[in-house]
Amino acid sequence: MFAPDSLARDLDGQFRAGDEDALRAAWEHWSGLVHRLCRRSLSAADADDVTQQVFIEAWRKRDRYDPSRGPLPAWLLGIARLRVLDQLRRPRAEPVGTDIAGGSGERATADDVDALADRLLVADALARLPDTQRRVLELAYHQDLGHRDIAGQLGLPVGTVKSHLARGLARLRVGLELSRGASEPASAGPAGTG
Amino acid sequence: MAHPSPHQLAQLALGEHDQQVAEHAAACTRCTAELNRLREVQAALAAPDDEPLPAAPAPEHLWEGVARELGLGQSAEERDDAAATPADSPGAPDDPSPLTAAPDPDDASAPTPPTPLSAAPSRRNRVLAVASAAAAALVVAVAAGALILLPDTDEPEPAVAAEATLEPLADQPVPARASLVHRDDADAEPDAADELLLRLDIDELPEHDGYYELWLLDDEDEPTALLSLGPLSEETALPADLDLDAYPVVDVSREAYDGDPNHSGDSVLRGRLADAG
Repeated sequence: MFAPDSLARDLDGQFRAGDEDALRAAWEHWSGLVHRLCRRSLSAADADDVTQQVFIEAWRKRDRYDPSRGPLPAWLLGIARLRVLDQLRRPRAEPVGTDIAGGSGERATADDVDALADRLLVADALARLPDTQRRVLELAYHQDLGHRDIAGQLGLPVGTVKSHLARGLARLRVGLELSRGASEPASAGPAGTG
Repeated sequence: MAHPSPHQLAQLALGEHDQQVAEHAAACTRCTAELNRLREVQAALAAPDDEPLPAAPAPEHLWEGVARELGLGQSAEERDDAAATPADSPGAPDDPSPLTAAPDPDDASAPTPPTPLSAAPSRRNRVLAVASAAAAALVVAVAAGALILLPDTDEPEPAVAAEATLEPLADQPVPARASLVHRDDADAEPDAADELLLRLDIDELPEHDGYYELWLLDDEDEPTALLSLGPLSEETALPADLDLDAYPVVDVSREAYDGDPNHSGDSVLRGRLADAG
C-alpha cells in the first residue's frame, strides 16, 4: 500500500508541478493516514469534511510545498493537523467522540493531535525505508532488542546495525517540521513553530 | 567545533557518546533542537499504537468530493472521452521519471568499446588504488589526482568534471575514487558527445551472495532522494538530463538478488562529488 521511497520522491515533485495523477496517487497513498488523524480527533462527519479540505488545500497551495523540506505525507499531515486544531477550537454544544483522548468524550488536545501526527508520519516513513534499515529499527523500537541481539537476528555486524539505526533515525526525522506547521500554509505571516 | 552532521547527532541520540559532539550539542540551540527532534522520532517509534497504519485510502466518495471541488473529474472526462486538446493535459504523462531514465543495463555494463584512450589511464589508476589499498583515503585521492594532472600524452584525457573520494562505510571495503568525465572521444556518436560518464576506481570488493549497485544520492548523511544507476560497473553513462546538483553523492550498496528495487540500506562506499580543478 505504501509507495517505495524512490517512487514517493518522484510523486512529491509531480504533485508540486501540478500533475493531477499525482494528486490521485497521493490520495491513494495517504488519505487513509489523514483520515485516521481526523477520525481520532473529530466526529465522523467532521473527519470526512476535514479530510477533503486537507487535499483541496494541499492541491491549491501546492506552490508553497517545497519537496526538499519533506515528503508529501508531511505536507498533508501538516495541513491536516492545523485543520483538525481549527475544528477543535470551534465552540461546540456537545463533546465529540475521540479516540486519542481515551474515548471518554473529552476533546483531543493539541498535544494529542501533534503526537498522533508524529506517530503517523514516522510510521509511514518507516514503512518506506529499505528493508534492512526498516527491520533494524523495528527490532530496536518495537521489540526493544539491543544492538547485539539485532545483529544476531539479522546476521549483520554490530557496527552495521548501529549505522542503520543512526541513518534510519536521521531519515525518519525528515519532514517533521513540515508536518509540525513550521510553515503555516494558510498565512504568509509568521507562523507558530509548535 | 562545527555543527555535527545529522548522522553524528543521530548517533548521540542513540546513546553513542562522543564527547565533542555532546559538548557542542549542549551549548548550541540549533543542535539541541535537532537532538530534541530526533528524540521525538524515537518516542514516536516506540509509542505503542493499537492500530496498524491504515492500509486503505479514505472512502471513495470523499475523493469524488475533492475531485469535484477542484474540477478534476471534468478535465479527466474530457481527456478520456473527447480527446481534449493536448494543451489541456496537465504535465506530460510520459515524462521519464529519474528511475526509468537510468541507463539501461547494457549501457551500464558495456558503455563504449574500450579504446586505449579510456582504458589505459583507468588501468593505471586501478593499479595505484590496489597498491595503496590499505592506506587512508586521502592517499588514494592524492595518487589519483596526480594521474589526472599528468595524463598520458599520446591521447587527450577526457576532462574530469567532478571527483569524489568514496569512504568505506562497512568494515571490509577499501576507499575508492569516483570521477565524472565528459565522453568526448572521437569515436563517440555525435549525440553522445555531451554525455557524462561516472568512472570508478575501486579495488576488488568482497564477494557476497548478491551484487553491488551504484546510486546517486542527494545528501551524504541524510539521503532523501536516490537514483539507481544499476549494477556496479567501472564506467556508467549518466542520464543526459540528470541534475547533478540534486544528486551530488555517489553511493555503492550491497544488494541481494531479491527482486526488491529499493536501496538495501547497506552502503559500503559513499562520497560527495566536488568540482575538479
